[in-house]
Amino acid sequence: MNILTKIESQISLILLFYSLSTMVTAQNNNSVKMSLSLKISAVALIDFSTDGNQMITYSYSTIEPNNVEQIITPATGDKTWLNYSSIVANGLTNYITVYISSGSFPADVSLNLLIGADVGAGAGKKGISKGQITLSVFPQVIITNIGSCYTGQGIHKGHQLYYKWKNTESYDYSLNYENGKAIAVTYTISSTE
Amino acid sequence: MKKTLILLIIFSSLMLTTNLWAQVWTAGDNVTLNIPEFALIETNYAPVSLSLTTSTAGAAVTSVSNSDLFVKISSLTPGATDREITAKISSGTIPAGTKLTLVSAACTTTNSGGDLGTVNSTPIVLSAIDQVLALGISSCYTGTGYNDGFQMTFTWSPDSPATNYSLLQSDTYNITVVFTLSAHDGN
Repeated sequence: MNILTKIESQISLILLFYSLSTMVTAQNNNSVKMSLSLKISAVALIDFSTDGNQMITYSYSTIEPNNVEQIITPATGDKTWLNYSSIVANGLTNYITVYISSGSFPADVSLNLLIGADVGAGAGKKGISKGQITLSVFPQVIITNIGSCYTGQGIHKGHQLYYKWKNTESYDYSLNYENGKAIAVTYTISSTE
Repeated sequence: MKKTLILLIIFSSLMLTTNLWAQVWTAGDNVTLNIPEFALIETNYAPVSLSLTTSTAGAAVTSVSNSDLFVKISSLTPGATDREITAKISSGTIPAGTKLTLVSAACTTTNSGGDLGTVNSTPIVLSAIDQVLALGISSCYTGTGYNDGFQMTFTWSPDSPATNYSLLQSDTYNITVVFTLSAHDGN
Protein backbone atom coordinates (compact mmCIF):
# COMPACT_ATOMS: atom_id res chain seq x y z
CA MET A 1 0.00 0.00 0.00
CA ASN A 2 2.74 2.38 1.07
CA ILE A 3 4.87 1.47 -1.93
CA LEU A 4 1.96 2.02 -4.26
CA THR A 5 1.37 5.53 -2.88
CA LYS A 6 5.07 6.25 -3.27
CA ILE A 7 5.03 5.12 -6.88
CA GLU A 8 1.90 7.16 -7.55
CA SER A 9 3.43 10.30 -6.11
CA GLN A 10 6.58 9.72 -8.12
CA ILE A 11 4.57 9.27 -11.30
CA SER A 12 2.64 12.46 -10.61
CA LEU A 13 5.89 14.31 -9.96
CA ILE A 14 7.29 13.06 -13.25
CA LEU A 15 4.10 14.12 -15.01
CA LEU A 16 4.29 17.54 -13.36
CA PHE A 17 7.87 18.05 -14.51
CA TYR A 18 6.96 16.85 -17.96
CA SER A 19 4.05 19.28 -18.26
CA LEU A 20 6.24 22.11 -16.94
CA SER A 21 8.90 21.43 -19.54
CA THR A 22 6.19 21.29 -22.22
CA MET A 23 4.94 24.68 -21.04
CA VAL A 24 8.40 26.15 -21.31
CA THR A 25 8.84 25.01 -24.89
CA ALA A 26 5.35 26.27 -25.73
CA GLN A 27 6.46 29.77 -24.73
CA ASN A 28 7.29 30.77 -28.22
CA ASN A 29 9.24 34.00 -28.45
CA ASN A 30 8.50 34.51 -32.11
CA SER A 31 4.98 35.66 -31.24
CA VAL A 32 3.71 38.39 -28.97
CA LYS A 33 0.22 39.19 -27.68
CA MET A 34 -1.40 42.53 -27.07
CA SER A 35 -4.79 43.43 -25.69
CA LEU A 36 -7.00 45.94 -27.35
CA SER A 37 -10.02 47.67 -25.86
CA LEU A 38 -12.87 48.58 -28.18
CA LYS A 39 -15.71 50.71 -26.86
CA ILE A 40 -18.98 51.61 -28.55
CA SER A 41 -20.52 54.47 -26.58
CA ALA A 42 -24.25 54.75 -25.99
CA VAL A 43 -25.50 57.69 -28.09
CA ALA A 44 -28.76 59.67 -27.90
CA LEU A 45 -28.49 63.00 -29.74
CA ILE A 46 -31.29 65.10 -31.20
CA ASP A 47 -31.42 68.29 -33.21
CA PHE A 48 -33.65 70.36 -35.50
CA SER A 49 -33.08 71.21 -39.12
CA THR A 50 -35.26 74.02 -40.41
CA ASP A 51 -36.28 75.27 -43.80
CA GLY A 52 -35.90 79.04 -43.56
CA ASN A 53 -35.71 81.19 -40.49
CA GLN A 54 -37.39 79.24 -37.72
CA MET A 55 -37.25 80.23 -34.09
CA ILE A 56 -35.12 77.67 -32.34
CA THR A 57 -34.69 78.56 -28.69
CA TYR A 58 -32.52 75.60 -27.81
CA SER A 59 -30.71 73.65 -30.48
CA TYR A 60 -28.33 70.77 -29.97
CA SER A 61 -25.56 71.39 -27.44
CA THR A 62 -22.99 69.15 -25.80
CA ILE A 63 -24.30 70.25 -22.38
CA GLU A 64 -27.79 68.90 -23.05
CA PRO A 65 -27.39 66.74 -26.14
CA ASN A 66 -30.76 65.06 -25.78
CA ASN A 67 -33.01 68.17 -25.53
CA VAL A 68 -34.02 70.74 -28.14
CA GLU A 69 -36.66 73.49 -28.03
CA GLN A 70 -38.37 75.60 -30.66
CA ILE A 71 -40.98 78.42 -30.71
CA ILE A 72 -44.16 77.50 -32.55
CA THR A 73 -46.14 80.08 -34.54
CA PRO A 74 -48.58 79.52 -37.40
CA ALA A 75 -45.59 80.31 -39.64
CA THR A 76 -43.72 77.29 -38.34
CA GLY A 77 -45.90 75.03 -40.44
CA ASP A 78 -44.06 72.01 -41.76
CA LYS A 79 -40.59 73.54 -42.05
CA THR A 80 -38.90 71.57 -39.29
CA TRP A 81 -37.23 68.16 -39.34
CA LEU A 82 -35.99 66.14 -36.40
CA ASN A 83 -32.51 64.67 -36.89
CA TYR A 84 -31.09 62.18 -34.42
CA SER A 85 -28.21 59.76 -33.78
CA SER A 86 -28.64 56.72 -31.61
CA ILE A 87 -26.52 53.81 -30.42
CA VAL A 88 -28.16 51.44 -27.99
CA ALA A 89 -27.05 48.53 -25.82
CA ASN A 90 -28.32 45.03 -26.46
CA GLY A 91 -32.08 44.87 -25.74
CA LEU A 92 -32.59 48.62 -25.33
CA THR A 93 -34.08 51.30 -27.57
CA ASN A 94 -34.32 55.08 -27.52
CA TYR A 95 -37.54 57.08 -27.85
CA ILE A 96 -38.50 60.72 -28.34
CA THR A 97 -41.04 62.69 -26.33
CA VAL A 98 -42.45 66.20 -26.79
CA TYR A 99 -44.24 68.67 -24.51
CA ILE A 100 -45.17 72.35 -24.38
CA SER A 101 -42.30 73.74 -22.32
CA SER A 102 -43.26 77.42 -22.38
CA GLY A 103 -46.26 79.67 -22.97
CA SER A 104 -49.98 79.08 -22.99
CA PHE A 105 -52.89 79.83 -25.27
CA PRO A 106 -56.61 80.53 -24.90
CA ALA A 107 -58.91 77.57 -24.21
CA ASP A 108 -60.35 77.56 -27.72
CA VAL A 109 -56.90 77.32 -29.32
CA SER A 110 -55.12 74.01 -29.68
CA LEU A 111 -52.01 72.78 -31.44
CA ASN A 112 -51.72 69.42 -33.14
CA LEU A 113 -48.50 67.83 -34.26
CA LEU A 114 -48.18 65.28 -37.03
CA ILE A 115 -44.85 63.46 -36.98
CA GLY A 116 -43.85 62.17 -40.38
CA ALA A 117 -42.22 58.79 -40.90
CA ASP A 118 -38.45 58.74 -41.25
CA VAL A 119 -37.68 59.86 -44.79
CA GLY A 120 -35.03 57.17 -45.31
CA ALA A 121 -31.75 59.08 -45.24
CA GLY A 122 -28.96 57.83 -43.00
CA ALA A 123 -28.91 54.18 -41.95
CA GLY A 124 -29.76 51.75 -39.19
CA LYS A 125 -32.90 51.08 -37.19
CA LYS A 126 -34.83 54.36 -37.30
CA GLY A 127 -37.78 55.01 -34.97
CA ILE A 128 -41.48 54.58 -35.65
CA SER A 129 -43.70 57.66 -35.63
CA LYS A 130 -46.88 57.75 -33.51
CA GLY A 131 -48.61 59.82 -36.19
CA GLN A 132 -50.62 62.76 -34.85
CA ILE A 133 -50.97 64.05 -31.28
CA THR A 134 -52.40 67.11 -29.56
CA LEU A 135 -49.56 68.89 -27.81
CA SER A 136 -49.81 69.44 -24.05
CA VAL A 137 -47.61 70.35 -21.11
CA PHE A 138 -47.22 66.66 -20.37
CA PRO A 139 -44.56 64.77 -22.32
CA GLN A 140 -45.95 62.40 -24.92
CA VAL A 141 -44.04 59.69 -26.73
CA ILE A 142 -43.95 60.47 -30.47
CA ILE A 143 -41.19 58.22 -31.87
CA THR A 144 -40.39 54.78 -30.48
CA ASN A 145 -38.17 51.76 -31.18
CA ILE A 146 -35.09 53.74 -32.15
CA GLY A 147 -32.20 51.30 -32.41
CA SER A 148 -28.66 52.03 -33.52
CA CYS A 149 -29.08 54.49 -36.36
CA TYR A 150 -28.51 57.98 -37.70
CA THR A 151 -30.96 60.04 -39.73
CA GLY A 152 -28.46 62.26 -41.51
CA GLN A 153 -28.20 65.99 -40.88
CA GLY A 154 -30.32 68.61 -42.57
CA ILE A 155 -33.80 69.16 -43.95
CA HIS A 156 -35.52 66.28 -45.71
CA LYS A 157 -33.69 64.00 -43.30
CA GLY A 158 -35.19 62.29 -40.28
CA HIS A 159 -38.82 63.00 -39.37
CA GLN A 160 -40.71 66.01 -40.72
CA LEU A 161 -42.87 67.87 -38.18
CA TYR A 162 -46.26 69.32 -39.22
CA TYR A 163 -47.83 71.81 -36.78
CA LYS A 164 -51.57 72.39 -37.14
CA TRP A 165 -53.36 75.12 -35.21
CA LYS A 166 -57.04 75.29 -34.35
CA ASN A 167 -58.62 78.75 -34.02
CA THR A 168 -55.44 80.68 -34.50
CA GLU A 169 -57.57 83.85 -35.03
CA SER A 170 -58.06 84.25 -31.29
CA TYR A 171 -54.39 83.78 -30.49
CA ASP A 172 -52.04 86.71 -31.01
CA TYR A 173 -48.82 84.71 -31.14
CA SER A 174 -46.68 87.68 -32.16
CA LEU A 175 -47.71 89.68 -29.11
CA ASN A 176 -47.13 86.72 -26.87
CA TYR A 177 -43.73 86.18 -28.37
CA GLU A 178 -42.80 89.80 -27.69
CA ASN A 179 -43.88 89.31 -24.10
CA GLY A 180 -41.86 86.15 -23.77
CA LYS A 181 -45.01 84.07 -23.64
CA ALA A 182 -44.62 82.30 -26.95
CA ILE A 183 -45.49 78.64 -27.26
CA ALA A 184 -42.34 76.58 -27.13
CA VAL A 185 -42.08 72.82 -27.43
CA THR A 186 -39.23 70.64 -26.21
CA TYR A 187 -38.22 67.33 -27.78
CA THR A 188 -36.26 64.85 -25.71
CA ILE A 189 -34.55 61.62 -26.73
CA SER A 190 -34.24 59.05 -23.95
CA SER A 191 -33.27 55.44 -23.44
CA THR A 192 -35.64 52.69 -22.32
CA GLU A 193 -32.91 51.70 -19.86
CA MET B 1 74.10 2.77 -34.74
CA LYS B 2 75.16 6.34 -35.24
CA LYS B 3 73.20 6.42 -38.44
CA THR B 4 70.15 5.16 -36.67
CA LEU B 5 70.55 7.82 -34.03
CA ILE B 6 70.79 10.57 -36.62
CA LEU B 7 67.74 9.24 -38.41
CA LEU B 8 65.90 9.10 -35.13
CA ILE B 9 66.84 12.69 -34.37
CA ILE B 10 65.76 13.83 -37.81
CA PHE B 11 62.57 11.89 -37.59
CA SER B 12 61.71 13.13 -34.12
CA SER B 13 62.54 16.70 -35.09
CA LEU B 14 60.23 16.28 -38.04
CA MET B 15 57.60 14.94 -35.69
CA LEU B 16 58.12 17.94 -33.46
CA THR B 17 57.81 20.32 -36.35
CA THR B 18 54.68 18.54 -37.47
CA ASN B 19 53.41 18.71 -33.96
CA LEU B 20 54.13 22.37 -33.87
CA TRP B 21 52.33 22.89 -37.16
CA ALA B 22 49.49 20.70 -36.01
CA GLN B 23 49.13 22.79 -32.88
CA VAL B 24 48.79 25.96 -34.92
CA TRP B 25 46.22 24.38 -37.19
CA THR B 26 44.29 22.86 -34.31
CA ALA B 27 44.04 26.22 -32.64
CA GLY B 28 42.60 27.63 -35.86
CA ASP B 29 40.14 24.80 -36.22
CA ASN B 30 38.76 25.26 -32.75
CA VAL B 31 37.52 28.78 -33.31
CA THR B 32 33.92 27.92 -33.91
CA LEU B 33 31.78 30.87 -34.98
CA ASN B 34 28.22 29.72 -34.50
CA ILE B 35 25.41 31.99 -35.62
CA PRO B 36 22.21 30.38 -34.40
CA GLU B 37 19.11 31.37 -36.28
CA PHE B 38 16.50 33.13 -34.19
CA ALA B 39 13.26 35.03 -34.54
CA LEU B 40 12.39 37.38 -31.69
CA ILE B 41 9.39 39.67 -31.59
CA GLU B 42 8.22 42.18 -29.01
CA THR B 43 6.03 45.27 -28.79
CA ASN B 44 6.37 48.53 -26.91
CA TYR B 45 3.28 47.52 -24.90
CA ALA B 46 1.50 50.75 -25.75
CA PRO B 47 -2.09 50.49 -24.52
CA VAL B 48 -4.51 50.68 -27.43
CA SER B 49 -8.10 51.78 -26.80
CA LEU B 50 -10.51 52.79 -29.51
CA SER B 51 -13.95 54.34 -29.07
CA LEU B 52 -16.72 54.69 -31.63
CA THR B 53 -19.02 57.61 -30.98
CA THR B 54 -20.48 60.79 -32.48
CA SER B 55 -21.17 64.22 -31.07
CA THR B 56 -23.42 65.44 -33.88
CA ALA B 57 -27.14 64.65 -33.95
CA GLY B 58 -27.99 62.97 -37.21
CA ALA B 59 -24.41 61.89 -37.93
CA ALA B 60 -23.00 58.37 -37.97
CA VAL B 61 -20.22 57.31 -35.64
CA THR B 62 -16.90 58.07 -37.27
CA SER B 63 -13.96 55.74 -37.71
CA VAL B 64 -11.09 56.02 -35.24
CA SER B 65 -7.39 55.20 -35.49
CA ASN B 66 -4.52 54.51 -33.13
CA SER B 67 -0.83 54.35 -34.09
CA ASP B 68 0.78 53.98 -30.65
CA LEU B 69 1.94 50.40 -31.04
CA PHE B 70 5.40 49.52 -32.37
CA VAL B 71 6.48 45.94 -33.11
CA LYS B 72 10.16 45.20 -32.65
CA ILE B 73 12.02 42.21 -34.04
CA SER B 74 15.45 40.61 -34.15
CA SER B 75 15.90 38.06 -36.85
CA LEU B 76 18.66 35.81 -38.12
CA THR B 77 17.66 33.53 -40.94
CA PRO B 78 19.34 30.50 -42.49
CA GLY B 79 20.76 31.30 -45.92
CA ALA B 80 18.32 32.30 -48.63
CA THR B 81 15.26 32.20 -46.38
CA ASP B 82 13.09 34.98 -45.13
CA ARG B 83 10.32 35.61 -42.67
CA GLU B 84 7.09 37.55 -42.36
CA ILE B 85 5.17 39.36 -39.64
CA THR B 86 1.56 38.24 -39.37
CA ALA B 87 -1.31 39.22 -37.08
CA LYS B 88 -4.55 37.60 -36.01
CA ILE B 89 -7.15 37.83 -33.27
CA SER B 90 -6.59 35.10 -30.69
CA SER B 91 -9.42 35.95 -28.32
CA GLY B 92 -12.52 38.13 -28.35
CA THR B 93 -14.62 39.03 -31.36
CA ILE B 94 -14.92 42.22 -33.33
CA PRO B 95 -18.25 43.89 -32.45
CA ALA B 96 -21.02 43.23 -34.96
CA GLY B 97 -21.39 45.92 -37.60
CA THR B 98 -17.77 47.05 -37.30
CA LYS B 99 -14.41 46.16 -38.77
CA LEU B 100 -10.92 46.55 -37.36
CA THR B 101 -8.08 46.98 -39.81
CA LEU B 102 -4.34 46.99 -39.24
CA VAL B 103 -1.50 48.27 -41.39
CA SER B 104 2.21 48.45 -40.67
CA ALA B 105 4.46 51.35 -41.59
CA ALA B 106 7.96 50.55 -42.88
CA CYS B 107 10.40 49.92 -40.03
CA THR B 108 11.88 53.01 -38.43
CA THR B 109 15.45 53.68 -39.57
CA THR B 110 16.97 55.35 -36.51
CA ASN B 111 18.22 52.24 -34.69
CA SER B 112 17.58 49.47 -37.18
CA GLY B 113 19.76 47.50 -39.57
CA GLY B 114 19.72 44.59 -41.97
CA ASP B 115 17.07 43.35 -44.32
CA LEU B 116 13.81 44.52 -42.78
CA GLY B 117 11.62 43.37 -45.65
CA THR B 118 8.64 45.08 -47.24
CA VAL B 119 5.40 46.07 -45.57
CA ASN B 120 1.97 45.27 -46.96
CA SER B 121 0.51 48.68 -47.77
CA THR B 122 -3.05 47.34 -47.91
CA PRO B 123 -4.58 47.28 -44.43
CA ILE B 124 -5.61 43.80 -43.33
CA VAL B 125 -9.07 43.26 -41.84
CA LEU B 126 -8.22 41.51 -38.59
CA SER B 127 -9.73 38.06 -38.12
CA ALA B 128 -8.94 34.75 -36.42
CA ILE B 129 -6.67 33.84 -39.36
CA ASP B 130 -3.08 35.08 -39.65
CA GLN B 131 -2.58 37.73 -42.33
CA VAL B 132 0.67 39.24 -43.57
CA LEU B 133 1.74 42.72 -42.44
CA ALA B 134 5.35 42.56 -43.68
CA LEU B 135 7.36 40.00 -45.64
CA GLY B 136 10.83 39.35 -47.07
CA ILE B 137 12.43 39.84 -43.65
CA SER B 138 15.81 38.14 -43.27
CA SER B 139 18.65 38.98 -40.89
CA CYS B 140 17.92 42.30 -39.24
CA TYR B 141 17.10 44.20 -36.06
CA THR B 142 14.69 47.07 -35.51
CA GLY B 143 16.17 48.73 -32.44
CA THR B 144 14.70 48.44 -28.97
CA GLY B 145 13.46 51.97 -28.23
CA TYR B 146 9.81 52.75 -27.45
CA ASN B 147 9.29 54.19 -30.92
CA ASP B 148 11.56 51.78 -32.80
CA GLY B 149 10.28 49.13 -35.16
CA PHE B 150 7.18 48.69 -37.25
CA GLN B 151 4.54 51.27 -36.33
CA MET B 152 1.11 49.66 -36.38
CA THR B 153 -2.04 51.63 -37.19
CA PHE B 154 -5.34 50.19 -36.02
CA THR B 155 -8.47 51.65 -37.63
CA TRP B 156 -11.92 50.80 -36.31
CA SER B 157 -15.02 51.78 -38.26
CA PRO B 158 -18.61 50.82 -39.01
CA ASP B 159 -18.66 48.01 -41.58
CA SER B 160 -21.08 48.60 -44.49
CA PRO B 161 -23.24 50.98 -42.41
CA ALA B 162 -25.99 51.17 -45.03
CA THR B 163 -26.96 47.61 -44.15
CA ASN B 164 -25.19 46.86 -40.86
CA TYR B 165 -25.49 50.02 -38.78
CA SER B 166 -28.38 48.66 -36.72
CA LEU B 167 -26.09 45.85 -35.48
CA LEU B 168 -24.00 48.27 -33.40
CA GLN B 169 -24.43 47.71 -29.66
CA SER B 170 -23.00 50.02 -27.05
CA ASP B 171 -20.59 48.02 -24.89
CA THR B 172 -16.89 47.44 -24.20
CA TYR B 173 -15.18 44.66 -26.11
CA ASN B 174 -11.75 43.21 -25.26
CA ILE B 175 -9.71 41.75 -28.06
CA THR B 176 -6.33 39.99 -28.04
CA VAL B 177 -4.16 40.36 -31.12
CA VAL B 178 -1.15 38.09 -31.70
CA PHE B 179 1.80 39.16 -33.84
CA THR B 180 4.03 36.37 -35.17
CA LEU B 181 7.43 36.44 -36.88
CA SER B 182 7.88 33.28 -38.93
CA ALA B 183 8.45 31.86 -42.37
CA HIS B 184 6.04 30.05 -44.64
CA ASP B 185 7.90 26.82 -43.84
CA GLY B 186 7.99 27.64 -40.13
CA ASN B 187 11.73 28.27 -39.68
